Amino acid sequence: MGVSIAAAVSSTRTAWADSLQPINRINTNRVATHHITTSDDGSHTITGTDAYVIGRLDSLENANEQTLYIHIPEISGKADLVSFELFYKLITDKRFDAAYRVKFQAPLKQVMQNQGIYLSLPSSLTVTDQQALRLDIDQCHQCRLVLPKHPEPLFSLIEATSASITNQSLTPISRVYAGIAEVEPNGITVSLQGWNKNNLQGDPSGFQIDGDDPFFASPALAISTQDLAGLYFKLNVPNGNSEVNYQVFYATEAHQFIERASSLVGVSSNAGVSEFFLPLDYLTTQAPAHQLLDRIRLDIIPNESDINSPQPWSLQEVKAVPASQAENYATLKPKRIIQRKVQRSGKKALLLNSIKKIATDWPFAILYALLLLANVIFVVRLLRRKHPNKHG
Amino acid sequence: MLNRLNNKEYLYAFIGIAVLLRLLLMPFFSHVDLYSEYRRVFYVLENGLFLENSYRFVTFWLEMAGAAFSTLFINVSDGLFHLDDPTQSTSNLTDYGFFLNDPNIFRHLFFFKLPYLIFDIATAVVIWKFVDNPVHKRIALLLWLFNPVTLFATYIFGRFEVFGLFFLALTALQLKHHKFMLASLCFALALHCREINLLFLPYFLIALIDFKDHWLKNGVTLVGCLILIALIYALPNWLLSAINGQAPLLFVDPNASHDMEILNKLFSLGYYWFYPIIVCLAALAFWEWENSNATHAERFVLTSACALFVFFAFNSHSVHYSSWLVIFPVLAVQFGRRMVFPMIVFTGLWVVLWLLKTDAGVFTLFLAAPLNTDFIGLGHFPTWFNQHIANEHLNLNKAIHIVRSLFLVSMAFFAYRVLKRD
Repeated sequence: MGVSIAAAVSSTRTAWADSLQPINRINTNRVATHHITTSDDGSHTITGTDAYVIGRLDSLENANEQTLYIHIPEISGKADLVSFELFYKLITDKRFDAAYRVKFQAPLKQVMQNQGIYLSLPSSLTVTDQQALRLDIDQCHQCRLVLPKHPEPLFSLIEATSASITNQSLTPISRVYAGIAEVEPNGITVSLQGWNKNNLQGDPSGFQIDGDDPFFASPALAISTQDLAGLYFKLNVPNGNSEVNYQVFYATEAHQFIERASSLVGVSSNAGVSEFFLPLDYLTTQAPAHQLLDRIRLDIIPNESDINSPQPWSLQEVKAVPASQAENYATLKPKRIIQRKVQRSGKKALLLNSIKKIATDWPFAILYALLLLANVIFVVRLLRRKHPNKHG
Repeated sequence: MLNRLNNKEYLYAFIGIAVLLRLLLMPFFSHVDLYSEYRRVFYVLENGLFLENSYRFVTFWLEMAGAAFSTLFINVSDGLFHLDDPTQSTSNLTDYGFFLNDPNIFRHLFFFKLPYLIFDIATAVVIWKFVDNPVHKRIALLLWLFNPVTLFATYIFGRFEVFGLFFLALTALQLKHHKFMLASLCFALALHCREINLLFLPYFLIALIDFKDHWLKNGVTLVGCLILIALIYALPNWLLSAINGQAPLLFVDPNASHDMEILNKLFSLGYYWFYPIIVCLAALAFWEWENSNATHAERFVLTSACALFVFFAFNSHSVHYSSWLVIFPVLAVQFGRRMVFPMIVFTGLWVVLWLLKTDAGVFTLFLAAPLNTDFIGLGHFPTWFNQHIANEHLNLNKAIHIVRSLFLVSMAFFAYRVLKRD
C-alpha cells in the first residue's frame, strides 16, 4: 500500500471486482497477490505502488496465543527498512476495512535473519483460525520477495513461549487501528492527554509560547466522519488578546497534516475565553469523501508579544460535534475563516451550497429579491404600456 | 412591443432591463482587485487620512462615498479590511479568503459596485443625450448597456473603469454643446479616474480649435482650457501639500513620485511594438487637424477612439482594460459610424483571447468564488485546451498568438469603420 490507505482500499476494490475473487483464490492457491509478479523460479517482484499479499491464518493449536508469525523467507530491496500494514478485518468478500490494521516497520536484514516477521498482537486485537489477512508492503518498488511454498502458511499464530522468539526478534508495532469511534449524540470530548507540542512550554492545561510555530497535535483519534459536523475548541487566552488567529490541521485516512487540509480562523475572545466551531461536514458530503478523522493539530498564530510572554494560555476543551448539534454551535463559527480542503462539491451541490450561502444573509437576500422584483415590475409595466406616440 | 415605445419609454425600459442584469451580477462576482481597492478605501476611512491621499483622486473619493454609505447597512467584521502596510495594499489570497467567507460578503459586493452602477447608468443617459438620431440613439444605448466587456469589467471583475468612461462621455457631450470650459473640467476629472486618459489630451486640445475662428480666439480658448485642466489635475496634490506638507503618498511605492507613478503606469504596460504607436498617434493628430470640417465632438470622439485602437493593437493589457475601448465607438454612432458589427467581432475575439490567456483567476470561475470557494480552480480554459484541442501543430502559445493577431485585426476593423465616412 504505497500511496495512501484510501487509494489502497479503492484499488483493492477495483482489483477484486475485476478478477481476483480472493477468498476462492486463497482457498485454492493459499495466497493472492496484487501489484506483485511471479517469476519462473517462483520468486516474486513488487511491481506497483499498491503491493499486498492475502492469505489465510493457519489453524490454531492454542487459541490464546497472540504472536503472529509472517513467513517471508526472503525479501531484498534498496531500502534498509520496509513498512508493512496488516489488515485484519474483511468487510465483504471484496474489501478489507482500513480502520482495522496494524502498521509496523522491519529492517530487511532482520526479516532475512529471522526468516520472517514476529508480531506480538495486542490483546484488544483478536484473530481467528482461517481468517483472511492482508499484508501490504509499502514503498518497496522492485523489491524481490519469496513467499512460502504451499502448504506452508504465510500467516500463523505461534506460542509466545516458543524458543524461536526472543525480544529482539519481535517486530515492534508502530500503530494499531482497531476500529473508529462513531460520533455520539452528545459529541466526543477529545482527551487532551498525550498531545505532542511544538514551541510550547507546559501542557494543554497551562502553557506559554516560546517560539513562532506553536502547536498541539493530538494522538491518533480515529473518529468516524459519518456523523461529524465539526470540531469545537475552547481556550483560555491571556487578557489583552482580543483577536487570536489559529490554524487547524486535520489528518484523515487519506492524508497527514497538510496545508491543503487546514482552516485558518480569526477568533474574538471574550473575557479571556477564545472558542470556535470549525465545520468539517464536507469530509463526507463532498468528494472525495474521507471516512476517518485521524488526528487534529491546533496551531496558534502568535503575535510577537505572545512569544516568551509569561502569561499562560490553556487549551480547555476539544470536542467532536455531531450533526444533530451543529445548529447549537453555528454561532461559534468564526467570521474570519478560510477553509482549505481536499474535498470539492459536485455541480449540483455547488449550486445548492451557493444558494444556501446567499440565504444565510437572509435580510439581504429578501431586500435583494424585492429590489429585483421591483425592477422587473417596472420594466414589464413599461413594456406593456400602450402609447400612441412612437417618438416622444 | 418595442416599436410601440416612445424614445423616453425605450430609454427607461432598457435601463430597467440593464439594471436588472447588473443587479443579478453585482453581489456574486469579484476579483481580488476589488477587495484590494476597497481595503485601501477602508484604510483611509478608518484612519481618517482623507487629506493624505490623492491616488486616483476622483475614483477613490467616489468609492469612499460608496463605502461610507455601505456602513449604514453593514456591520463590518473586525479586521476584514485590515491593512498592515499601505504601500503593499494588493491583497494576498489569504486575506481575500477571509473576505470570501465573510457573512456580509454579498452586501459588501453590492455596495462596492453601487457607485459603478450609478455612473454606468449615468453614462447611458449621457450617450442618449449625445446621439441625436432616434435610431442611432437606440443602437448606441444598446451597445453601451449590453456589451459584455464593460459588464464583465465592472460587475464580474469589479473594476472602476466606468467612472473614467462617464467623464469622457460627458466631455464629448460638452464639446458637442460647445461648452469648452465644462468639457475641460470633465476631461480633467477623467484624468483623475484613470491615467490612460492622458492619451486623449492632445486630441482633446486639437478638438477645441475651431478653424473658422481667428487664431487668437482659438489660442485663448486653448490656453484657458489647458490651464483649467492643469489646475484641476494638480489641485489635489497642491492642496494636500499645502495642508499636510510633503507627506508620503499612501498605497504607492515611497521611492516613486506620484507623477512618475502615472507615467510608469502609462508606459509600462508591456508594448509588443512601441514605435508604431507613436507614429500612428502622431498621424491621428494630423488627421484631426486636417479634418477641420468636422465638429469639435466628432474630432475628439473619432481620434480618441482610434488612439485606443492603436494602443490596444500593440499593447499587452489586463482583461478589464478592454472596457476603455467601448465608449468612443458607442459615441461614434452619433456621426453615422456603423459600430455594431465591429463591436461583435471585437467582443467575440476578446472572449476567446482571454479564455486562452487567462491565469487561474482572471477569466475563470475564480470570479464566482464569493458564491462558493469551491469555484476556485474551476473553469480554467487553457487546461481544457491543452487536454482536448492542443496538438503538435497547435499548442496554447500558438493559439494565443493567432487570436491576438486577430484581435489586432479587429482593432483595424474598428478604426476603418470609425474613420470611414458613409
